[in-house]
Amino acid sequence: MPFPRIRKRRVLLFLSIMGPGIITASVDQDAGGIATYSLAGAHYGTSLLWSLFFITVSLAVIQEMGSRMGVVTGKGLAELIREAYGVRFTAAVMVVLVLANWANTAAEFAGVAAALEIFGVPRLLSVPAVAGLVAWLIIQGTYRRVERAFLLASAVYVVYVISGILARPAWGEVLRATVTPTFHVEAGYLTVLMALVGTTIAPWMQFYLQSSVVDKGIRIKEYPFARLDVFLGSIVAAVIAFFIIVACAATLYVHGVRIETAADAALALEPFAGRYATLLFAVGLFNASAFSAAIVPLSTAYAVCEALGWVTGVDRGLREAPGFFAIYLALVGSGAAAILWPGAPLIEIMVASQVLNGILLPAVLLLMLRLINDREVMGRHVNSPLFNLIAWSTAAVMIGLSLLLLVLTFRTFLGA
Amino acid sequence: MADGIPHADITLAQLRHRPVLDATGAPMGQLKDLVVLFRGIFPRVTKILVARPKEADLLVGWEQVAGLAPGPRGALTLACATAAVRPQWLRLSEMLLAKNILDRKVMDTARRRVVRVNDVGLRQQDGRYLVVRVDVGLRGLLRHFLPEPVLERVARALRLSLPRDVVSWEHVEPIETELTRARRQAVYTKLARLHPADIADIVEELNPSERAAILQALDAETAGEALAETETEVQASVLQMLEPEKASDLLERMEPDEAADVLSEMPEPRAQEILQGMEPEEAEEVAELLEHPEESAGGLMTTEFAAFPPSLTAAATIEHLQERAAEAETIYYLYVTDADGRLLGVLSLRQLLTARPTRTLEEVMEKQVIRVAPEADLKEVAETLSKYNLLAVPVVGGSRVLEGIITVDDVISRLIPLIWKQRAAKKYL
Repeated sequence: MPFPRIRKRRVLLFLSIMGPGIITASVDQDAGGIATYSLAGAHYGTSLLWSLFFITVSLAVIQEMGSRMGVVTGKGLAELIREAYGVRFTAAVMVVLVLANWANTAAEFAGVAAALEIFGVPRLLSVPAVAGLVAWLIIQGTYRRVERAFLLASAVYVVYVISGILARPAWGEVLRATVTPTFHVEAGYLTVLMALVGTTIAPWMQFYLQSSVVDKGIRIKEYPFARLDVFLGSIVAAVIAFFIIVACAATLYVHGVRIETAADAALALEPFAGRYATLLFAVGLFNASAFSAAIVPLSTAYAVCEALGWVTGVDRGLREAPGFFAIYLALVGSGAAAILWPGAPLIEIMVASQVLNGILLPAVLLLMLRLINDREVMGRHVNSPLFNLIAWSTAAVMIGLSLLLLVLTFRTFLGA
Repeated sequence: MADGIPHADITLAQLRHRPVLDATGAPMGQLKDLVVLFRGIFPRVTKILVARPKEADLLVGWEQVAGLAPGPRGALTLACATAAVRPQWLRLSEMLLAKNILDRKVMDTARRRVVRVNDVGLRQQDGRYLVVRVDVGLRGLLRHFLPEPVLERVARALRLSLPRDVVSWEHVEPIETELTRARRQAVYTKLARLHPADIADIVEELNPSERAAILQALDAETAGEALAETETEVQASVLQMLEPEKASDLLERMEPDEAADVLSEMPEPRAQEILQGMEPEEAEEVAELLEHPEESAGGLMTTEFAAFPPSLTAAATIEHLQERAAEAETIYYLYVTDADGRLLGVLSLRQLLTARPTRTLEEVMEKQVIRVAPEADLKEVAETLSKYNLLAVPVVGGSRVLEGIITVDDVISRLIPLIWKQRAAKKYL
């Protein structure tokens, strides 16, 4: 039976069917992500490519866990933590989350400043303007419509794939580097490695993903499709990361160009865009940063309100949901303010925030692991031994890397 | 306490983690949880759960508790020695309080909202403790960090008011999700007593999994009525979460025009599945409405109107109406159609009742009928209803056949979002 009315809505429905996995893949390319992947390629060539395989596997597993918890329990991660551990512990977790997400928000604004500085717009102008825009969007409640536009615009990352290919890297070397783990016990290398993990598997993203899954209302029976969507999303995120690194390695590393500003990173797009490389890069970076500058505070506000039982909602006004808007606006404001500090080093901030993500990842992972292995919470959908192994290993490796980095940093401080 | 909320002597947060001693004063462990029995308005504490170091938790009957020492860390003393304690088990209508109510979301049927329990208030009565209320406000939250007297002092010093937000247990309805529902067949008696529009309010505050669980637990009639009052997006999201047969069942209880709106919000395969599960006549009506664009007169109308042949007398019409009144969307206007369904005239219920019983409809009816075409848009329909002060307007196609009617409430509910820019409660996507 043909139903013109149903068919007309199909186009709009497609966008909303776009799964949480694919969306998370787009969100993965935020300011911190672009900066870290570019830096990894420019400063270390192809030598960090091997880590992508392991990172992707971990990402897929961890996101699958978050998505499964969301579908089976029908609750967000913050909510599960509250219900399992009570108010005091949850409050502590929320404090840590807010701090980490403040750093991430600052990184997004750093991205905004860096992108617009390419056009000569001073950060004193760009950052407050975008902060104001992002705040207004949420208060106004038109966020959802704009979200769709942002997500579509993030399809621009395909240019990195094209650029990477056009740059004609030595594919033999690239492929070899992808499968051959190398490891340098050196502070800079470790930092970038940790940032790579932290930006791909950001703690705030686990909260965001699980809430999105809950909001979509997926039945337990339909879960296999959701799982497929999550795996696909992880692969897409990995592919884009791969090509960003390859493009930077092939264009910047080979010429010994170090990334000090966003304009340097933009050169990686020259094979594809020629003299429009900087323009294209700036547009892409701005889009990703501005979008994430809204999403990170938003997801934090949701998580905290979920956990403490405060009213949430972009649909409610300031008066009805004061806590929600207070958290959101405070994060946006303080994140932006951090960047306005005179001489704030943009690239360093972007990478440092991802290192922080990497340090905090084990904590979130451990919480997720305890919840997802609890039969009272998950019924018979608890973790398989394989997934437990992968998740535990990831946590262990990140703890190990953090400790190693700590030791190395102390040694340099103590004048080694 | 005033405003109908019972007074509480002590709260769960104040009781938990208190030391538990046996009759000889030897420490046994900490108070981990309370077991309550659901009978009567306020559940009664029947057992306590003691967490012991190096051993499994122990359930002790309330009869074996001798006393509770005063003060924030006052111990709970048992009436017998550790060795003599008889362990208990959970009965069918009993439940652990902290595990299942504390930190969970519950429905407040008094204020039609969904809240999270920060603390549980208990009252002593004849030596037993009753659960009388839950604390969902900031005060209950902060009580986990600071004892109440300290809180008061800090609040006064900072000149802040800590609002007290409590809900009497009479209005509390715990929430199940798809997973937990399977284990305990929940019966939402308090919720079911509310007006469907109020149930809809609460349902809209929940996430899809919780909504589906609740609507499945309610009886079909209440569930259908409540669902009909929620926003279309919410309806679509809930129906997709349910089993197709249940979804078809609920959709049948909705008006055809509303059902058509909901189906058009779903992905096509799903909509087809649910449509096919409906009764053929109902499905056909809905399918007919789906042929029209949503915001046109054809999309807004309902096919459930009261129509009669022109030759019927007033008396006979009243008799027929008494039989069929329940089916039509509105009986305030009665439409007169010929054998092919073409619209000949209209009369109001008032005109019908005041006419002489022997007169025919043809004599009483208004032949100049205000109408709209199926292609008319929302604005035109709204203006027509307003201009002619109508409660409903007939939708007449090119062939002069009466296709359906549009009632004013359908138009108002469409206009409200446009005026106040409201949306259904959905978080990210």
